[in-house]
Amino acid sequence: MIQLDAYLDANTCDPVAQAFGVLYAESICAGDNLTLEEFIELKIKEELLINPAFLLNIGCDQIVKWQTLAQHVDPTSVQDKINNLPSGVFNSFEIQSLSGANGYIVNMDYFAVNITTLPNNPNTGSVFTADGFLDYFRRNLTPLAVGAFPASSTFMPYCEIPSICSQEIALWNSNDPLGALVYIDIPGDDGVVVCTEFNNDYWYFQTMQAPVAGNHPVSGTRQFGYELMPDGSHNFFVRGVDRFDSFAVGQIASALTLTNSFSGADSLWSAFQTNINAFVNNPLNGGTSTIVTPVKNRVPWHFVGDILQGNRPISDLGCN
Amino acid sequence: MRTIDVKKINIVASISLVVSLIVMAMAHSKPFTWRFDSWIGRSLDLLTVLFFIPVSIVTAIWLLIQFNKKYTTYKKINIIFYIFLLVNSIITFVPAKYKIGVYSPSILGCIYLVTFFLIIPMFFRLFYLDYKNDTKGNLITRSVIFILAIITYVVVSWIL
Repeated sequence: MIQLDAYLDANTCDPVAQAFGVLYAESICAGDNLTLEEFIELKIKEELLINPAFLLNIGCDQIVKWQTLAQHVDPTSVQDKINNLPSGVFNSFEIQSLSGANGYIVNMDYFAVNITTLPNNPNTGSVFTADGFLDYFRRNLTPLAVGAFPASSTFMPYCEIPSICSQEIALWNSNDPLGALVYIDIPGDDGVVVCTEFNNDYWYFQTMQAPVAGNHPVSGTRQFGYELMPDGSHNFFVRGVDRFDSFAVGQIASALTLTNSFSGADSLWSAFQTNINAFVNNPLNGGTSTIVTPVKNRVPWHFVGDILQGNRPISDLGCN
Repeated sequence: MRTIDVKKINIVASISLVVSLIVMAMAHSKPFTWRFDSWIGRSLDLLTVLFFIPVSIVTAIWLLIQFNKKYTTYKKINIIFYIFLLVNSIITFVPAKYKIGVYSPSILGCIYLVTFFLIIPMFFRLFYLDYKNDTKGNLITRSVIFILAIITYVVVSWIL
C-alpha cells in the first residue's frame, strides 16, 4: 500500500484519484474480488443512495439564483390583493407554487443578452440607463416575444374581468407594478402571471390560476432583470424555475417532443434574446450586444427539489 | 322530380369540410381569433364563427350519415383504422416543434395523440373480428402494416 502511494505520488496523481486508487487496493486486499469497473459502479451506486443528485451537472453559478426563485414567497400585499379579486365562473385567482405542481421535470433556465454599450432610447434619443432599458423592456414584452415558434405569445394587462381592467392597465404601466396581473396569450394554453417582486434592476412573475385563462401551464417564478458583469457590461436576462402544473400535460409534451418538453418555452425566451440583441445592435439605436449561450437544466424534481427549496446543501451538486 | 345525386353532394361536403378545417386550423390558438388586429382579423373571426364552423359541422354530420349507411360495422372500423394509421404515420415524420405549442400540444399534436390512442383498441377489435370470422388474409395484412408503422415510429423517434 505504501509502495502504491509512493508510485501515485511520484506520478503526480490527483489526490482524489490517488485516494480512490488506494481504496480500490484496500478492497482487493480485503478479498472483495471486484474488477475496477465493478468497484467504480459500486461506489457510484453507494454515492447515489446518499445523494441522488450526485451525477447531475448543473451550472453552479446559477444554482443559488434558481434557489432564490424557487424559495420566493409572494408578499402579503400581493396575497391580499389576490384574495380580494372577484372569482370567475370556473376559476378563482390563486398563485401556483413550484412545490404544488405535478410535473416530473423541473426546468431551470437562464437566457441573457450581454450589452456592452447600452442603446439609445428611440423616444428621446438619449442613451438608456440600465434601469431605463429594463423599464423599456418591461413595457414592450409583446414585441420582444415576436418570432417565437410556433407562434408568438402576447403579454397584456389582465382585462378578462372588465371591472378590474383599467386598474390593471394603470398598475402595469406605472413605475411600481407590484401586484400587476398580466395575461399571456400562450399558443395552446393561455396563462396569467402576477408581479410579486419589483425593483429597478429586476422583477418577478409568478404563475397563477385565473378566471378565463384557467391554470397557467407551468407553476413557478420567472425573473426578468439585468446584472452588472465584472467587465462593466450588463447581462439583461430572463431566468426561471418552473414545472408543468399537470403531470399528464408534462408527459404528453415529453412524448411529443421526444426529448425536451420545454422546447416551446425555449423558443419563446430565445426570441427575447434575439429581439433584444437586434434592438440594441440596430444602427439607429447605437448599442452593442451579444447573445449569451442559454443555460438550461431539466432534471427530475425529486433529484433537486430539496436543494432548490434549501432543505439540502448545493454541495450535493458538487457546487461550493 | 329531380333525384338527389348523393355522390356529388359527398364530394362537395368532403371538400367543404377539408377547407373549413384548414381555415379553422389557420386561426390563432385562442378559438376563432385571427392573428390580425384590424377589420380584416375581425371579419375573419366572424366568417369563421358564422360560416366555416357551421359548414364543417353540417358536412361532418352528412358524411358520417353516408358513411354509416354505406358500410357494415366491420368495414367502418377497418376504414377508420387505416385512415388513422396513415394520418398518425404521416405526423410521425413531422418535426416535434410543429406538434407542440409552447407547453401544450398544438392542433397537429392533438390529432397525433387522438389517432395514436384510438388505433390500438381498434387494431385489437379488428384482430378479434377477423379471428372470429376466419378472415385471416385481412388479419395478416393489417398486422404487417401495423408492425411496419410501429417500426417506422421507433426508427423516426430514434433519428429525431
